[in-house]
Amino acid sequence: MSFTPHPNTIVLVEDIDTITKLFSIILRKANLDVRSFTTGEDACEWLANNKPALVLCDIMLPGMDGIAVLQFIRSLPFGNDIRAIAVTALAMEGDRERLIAAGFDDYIPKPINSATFVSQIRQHLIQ
Amino acid sequence: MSTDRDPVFISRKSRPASSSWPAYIALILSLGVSVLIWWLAGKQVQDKTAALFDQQKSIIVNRLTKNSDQMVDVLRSFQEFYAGNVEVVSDMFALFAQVPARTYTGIRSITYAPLVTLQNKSVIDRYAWNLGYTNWSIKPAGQRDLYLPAFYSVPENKSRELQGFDFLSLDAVQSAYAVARDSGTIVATSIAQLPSDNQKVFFYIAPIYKYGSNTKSVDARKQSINGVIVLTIPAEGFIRTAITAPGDSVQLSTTVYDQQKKPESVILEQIPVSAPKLSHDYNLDLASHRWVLSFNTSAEFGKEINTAFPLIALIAGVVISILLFGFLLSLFSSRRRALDLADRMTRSQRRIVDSSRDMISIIGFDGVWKNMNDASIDALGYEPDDLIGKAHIDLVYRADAQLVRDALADAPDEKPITLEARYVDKQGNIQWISWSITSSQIDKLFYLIGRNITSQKLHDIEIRAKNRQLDLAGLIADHENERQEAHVRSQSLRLRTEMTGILGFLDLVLNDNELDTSDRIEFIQTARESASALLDIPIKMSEMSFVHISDVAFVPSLVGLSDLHDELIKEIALTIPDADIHINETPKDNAYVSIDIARFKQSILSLIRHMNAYQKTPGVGLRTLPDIENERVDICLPFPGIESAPPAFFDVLLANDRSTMLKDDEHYEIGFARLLIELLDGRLSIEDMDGLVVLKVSIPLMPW
Repeated sequence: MSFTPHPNTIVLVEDIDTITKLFSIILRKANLDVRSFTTGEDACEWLANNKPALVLCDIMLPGMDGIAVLQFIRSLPFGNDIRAIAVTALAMEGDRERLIAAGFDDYIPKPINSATFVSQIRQHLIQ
Repeated sequence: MSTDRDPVFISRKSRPASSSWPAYIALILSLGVSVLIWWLAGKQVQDKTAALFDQQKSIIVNRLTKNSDQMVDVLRSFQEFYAGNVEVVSDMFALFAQVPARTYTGIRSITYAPLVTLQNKSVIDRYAWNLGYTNWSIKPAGQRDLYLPAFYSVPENKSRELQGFDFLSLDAVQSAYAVARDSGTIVATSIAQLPSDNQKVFFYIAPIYKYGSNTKSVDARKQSINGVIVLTIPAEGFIRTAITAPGDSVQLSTTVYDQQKKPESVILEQIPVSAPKLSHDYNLDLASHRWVLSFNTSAEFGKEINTAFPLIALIAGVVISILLFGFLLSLFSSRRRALDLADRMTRSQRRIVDSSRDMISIIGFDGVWKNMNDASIDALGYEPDDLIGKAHIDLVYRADAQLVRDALADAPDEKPITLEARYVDKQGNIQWISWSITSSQIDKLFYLIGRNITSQKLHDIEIRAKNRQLDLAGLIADHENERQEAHVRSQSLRLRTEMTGILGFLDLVLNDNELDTSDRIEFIQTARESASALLDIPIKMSEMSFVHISDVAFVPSLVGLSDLHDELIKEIALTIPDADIHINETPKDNAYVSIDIARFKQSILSLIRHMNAYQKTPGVGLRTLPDIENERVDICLPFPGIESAPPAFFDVLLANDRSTMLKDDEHYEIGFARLLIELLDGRLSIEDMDGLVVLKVSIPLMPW
């Protein structure tokens, strides 16, 4: 199966426009390419043939949720090479552990800490 | 309560008579037997005494007879002697006579007395003188036609004075001589006294005929008589040797009379005892002469006979009778006491039974009430007269009748079994009775001890209902908690999401110096929009619902089947107006269910809605099928548009806990309906009937 690598691209899967706009602004100011999708299905369709550097994924998505997206990613031949970070308003007790156990490489709760958001992502890009 | 009921609580046979009259009967009978034995014994004693008396009389009589026969034999021998000799001279006579004279000491003398007529008297005189009888003369002197003078006598020393004595001078001899002469037999005479002494004697006279003479007729004998042989027998001696003998066992006093029993005829007298046991006069004929023997028992008579035996037997019999009477009386008294005790125990048991709060009843193997105590009457409301003799099964509630029949039919002998069954009391109410039943093959009875557990059963039903209500409340609470949690979670998500936009854009505005004014304005505007979106969150939070008690309340009431059927039709038509309803006829059975009709309709409609969600065209049937015998009614809802029931139904029907019901709203509502139906002791199932998927709700009918 062939794919197109996008080593500088961060895929953002988020259904709220405001959030997508915010994260895109912040990441572009950090000189990171951002490709955003509003649904998990759309993101998976692109990810099937493209390998980004990292995926930022909301969990509460309409239709295919963030965990399903992660499972799709991991099912790809190169899926394990893609870093996946959950960015979600699910901040109740146990949510973080549940998402890490599901296979995400990291967890960033909403609302984000603007000062550390980019550095937290860059750490995963370096790895 | 009637006290006339036959107390059959103690198994026993029919009661025998407790009177003691049999003892008296036994006494009379035994006394009678004693008297009989006494009489028989006395008779036996009498017979023995009489036999002994006869025996002893016979001894005396036989002795006299024997002695007499001996005398007769002696004379007969003389007759034969004279018949064989032409003439018997003195020496021959003496020789012949000596033997018997010596042999028989009872013979005083044996004398030959020739017959002398007046005409030949002188011849005899001269003859005698020629023989040397110098003192010969016929005595007593005097002229008589006939003389029988003693001519030869033996023994001479005892009969010397007898010589010449004319026997015919004695009256006793005269009559006897005539008889002897005419008959040719030996004849004994009456008692006489010889002139020589006062000894009482009697004579045996044997006629001697002339040698070769004809003696075939009386006249011939008269003509040919030659003389007589006379035995002179001392009477007393003759008699004494008969009535007494050495070593004699005879214990009689005997008085011998000559010819007749007269005082002047006494030959020998033995003075009898004043009151002899037995007396008897016996006529003894010796050589054609009669003696009268008067026998009396002596004082020693019959001593060997136990004459006291009858009295002893009588006394023993009386004593035994009294003892037997006493024994029987005590036996009957004991029996009466035992029966009295049994009666008291029966009454005591009756009191216990009647005062027992447990129901105690007896029915026969024929299924008929035999008896019951007050507690049974109170529980069932019937009087004993209403039930005793009637079939027990008639009171059993119809749904339990077969159970009761089977239990009684299978009840082992003398081993208690337990049985719970419902009975219909006189007022028509249901009474739950818990029985312990013991069967007795011997008595052909069932003994039932029971308790009315109706309150307990109703309490159990109530507890069960309350437990289900608790389950229902728990389900509602869990569901609501889940909803609350989901609601809070969603609001939290919204809050955090909007805050992300607010804080993020504000951070950009505040910290990014490279932003131009339009960007700043845009970012601030975006933050304001996010903030505005947060304003309805408090409102959303206030929309959390609370569980009210009415959500879990359950108020059952009696609803007739036809009413239930009609209510469901109306509700289905109202709630699912486009449903194609196929219904059967309204049930005609006069039966009732106890349900909260509102909740029940809610459950049914919820189930119909969920089933309809899987049908292309909403359609449902309604068939209300009462099963009176099994006390249930099946409400069948066929769904023609479904090939198989939806998975959620099977999930819920097969689930044992609430977690399945909390899976989603569909599961929750189906589970909720299931719990409501179970609150009614109903069952929810999915069946295939005639190729259709049918939702079946089976609920109990009220006993009526």
